[in-house]
Amino acid sequence: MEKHMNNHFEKMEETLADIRMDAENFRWGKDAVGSAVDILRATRRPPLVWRRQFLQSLVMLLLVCNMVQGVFLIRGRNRPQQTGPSERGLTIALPPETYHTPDIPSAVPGKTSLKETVLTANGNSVTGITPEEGLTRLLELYRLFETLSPAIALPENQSPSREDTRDRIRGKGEYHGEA
Amino acid sequence: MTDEKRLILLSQQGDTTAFSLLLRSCENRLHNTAHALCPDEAEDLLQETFIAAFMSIKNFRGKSSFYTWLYRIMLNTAYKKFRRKKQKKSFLGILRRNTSSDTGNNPISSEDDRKEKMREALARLPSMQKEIITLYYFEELSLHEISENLNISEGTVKSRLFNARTLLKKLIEP
Repeated sequence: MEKHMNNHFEKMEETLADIRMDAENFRWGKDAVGSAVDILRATRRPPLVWRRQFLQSLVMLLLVCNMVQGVFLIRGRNRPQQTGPSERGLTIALPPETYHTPDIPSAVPGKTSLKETVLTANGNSVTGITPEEGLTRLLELYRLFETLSPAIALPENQSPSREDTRDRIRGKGEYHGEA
Repeated sequence: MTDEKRLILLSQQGDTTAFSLLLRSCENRLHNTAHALCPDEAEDLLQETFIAAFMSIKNFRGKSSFYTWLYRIMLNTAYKKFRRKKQKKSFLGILRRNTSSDTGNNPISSEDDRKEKMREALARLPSMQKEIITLYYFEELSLHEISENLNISEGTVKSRLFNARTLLKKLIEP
């Protein structure tokens, strides 16, 4: 069967063998790999350089944009500190200064640690105030409470509890703590 | 990681030196097939194959060997080249027929015609069968080597070879 099949394709295989012989006798004059690589280098270098420069400038642009955005964000955070009392919040006229949140954790004067988070008159919190500054503002706030009528209540989210208030306005401008 | 894989990775990152080293390892094996398929433009065929391979090396995923992948690119490039040549030839043939009548009974030209006919028939084969025929007859690989190269069984190689030969015969002797 195999023999018959080979005979069947004999003429065709002869032609294929001739083609192969021609290929073996062919003398290659050109270095195909070398010339192909030369072409590749010549054609690919400019786009690579261009792409690299483009990416570098894009990165720089993004960095600058990021910095500008950062500056605007910082400015946006600082702005509420400079504004006066808000229109929507308190009914009492508070001075355009900030006051501390009333929850002071320790009663011992030496160990009192003030939170750096401070509420402004319009309810926003601001960070970055030194403890001394905060203390003076707290005292000012107590003095203000003394002048107020007890019937006027602050909104719940901004006011201390009644007991705490009573405790704190007992002394004149001094904090007596929880005890 | 083998050297070939490392070179492939570097080539995929655009390293032309690594790519040229890869090509050098396969170059000689491709010569016979390149010339067999495109005797007039064998060098150009190889060059175009290498350029096409570099352009698409990012798509190479290592499912077959680099040589097999390159070999397939060469067959496709040869086929495209052949079609272009055929179109050109048919146009020139019409021109010649109009100007002269004797193409002659020259035995050399008849032999060339036979070979040319064979190349034409080869180009018309489906790519799998074309691959088998060229690997078997031009690269002179054994059935076992072909099965290893193409990741198929020897039985499949035999059946594909038989089908390819039958079809080739039909195309040559209609």
